[in-house]
Amino acid sequence: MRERRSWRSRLLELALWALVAIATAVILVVASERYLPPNF
Amino acid sequence: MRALVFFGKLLISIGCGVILFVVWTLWGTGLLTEREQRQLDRAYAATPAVTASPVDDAGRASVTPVDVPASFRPRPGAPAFRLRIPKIGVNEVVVEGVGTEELRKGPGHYPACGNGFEPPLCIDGVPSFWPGEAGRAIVSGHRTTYGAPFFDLDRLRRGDRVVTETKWGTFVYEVTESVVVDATEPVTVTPGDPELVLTTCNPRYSAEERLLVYTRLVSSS
Repeated sequence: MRERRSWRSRLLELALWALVAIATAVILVVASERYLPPNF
Repeated sequence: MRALVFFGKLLISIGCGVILFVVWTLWGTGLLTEREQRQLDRAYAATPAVTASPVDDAGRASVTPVDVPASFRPRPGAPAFRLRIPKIGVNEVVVEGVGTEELRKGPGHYPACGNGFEPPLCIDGVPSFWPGEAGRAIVSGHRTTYGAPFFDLDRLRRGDRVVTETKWGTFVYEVTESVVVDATEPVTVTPGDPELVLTTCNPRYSAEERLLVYTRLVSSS
């Protein structure tokens, strides 16, 4: 039987994964600006 | 099973991050440049006119080159002149400098070292030339990010017009040739005929090579 989760817990999890996505994008932006030539 | 679900969600999140990065790089950065160009446009309009004197080159060049006073040395990122390439829809204020910060604002004029510019992103030992002067002026621009002003630079063909509107006159150049070189190959700056070289990354979405478009001065006013 699957446990029922509250909407609050689901929302919290969604926010956490959104944070992971944003962190990935930020890391890629910083890396691209550091390693790509200025006129890319 | 739980670990598998966690791993799946992690991959989806990282994938969303990659999509965000691509959207930001290709379109988001363009919004920043658009805003910067609007500010540069106002700053450039407020820049006072510069008096350049004609240079006697004993008839070597078909158009008499000019000598821009040494006092005209914009700071890094300050507006230098306007560049128009009708064929590919370029109409941008060119800033002084080709560093990361400067090229976020628009195409950049390769500066002489000093005055806030450090090698290798400046010309060391020889003077930097301005449009209309008897030498090679170099303008570098983004190909795929920050508004991508030189996105279609490869479409330029021999004879196409490149116009520079400066505070000391308007100079019209004509494309003579386009070449693709290794990204590490330096562009040489030598005094001589009035030339304008446009450079950008090549091919699109890659930084492996550099595209150079050579132009020569055909008229001034």
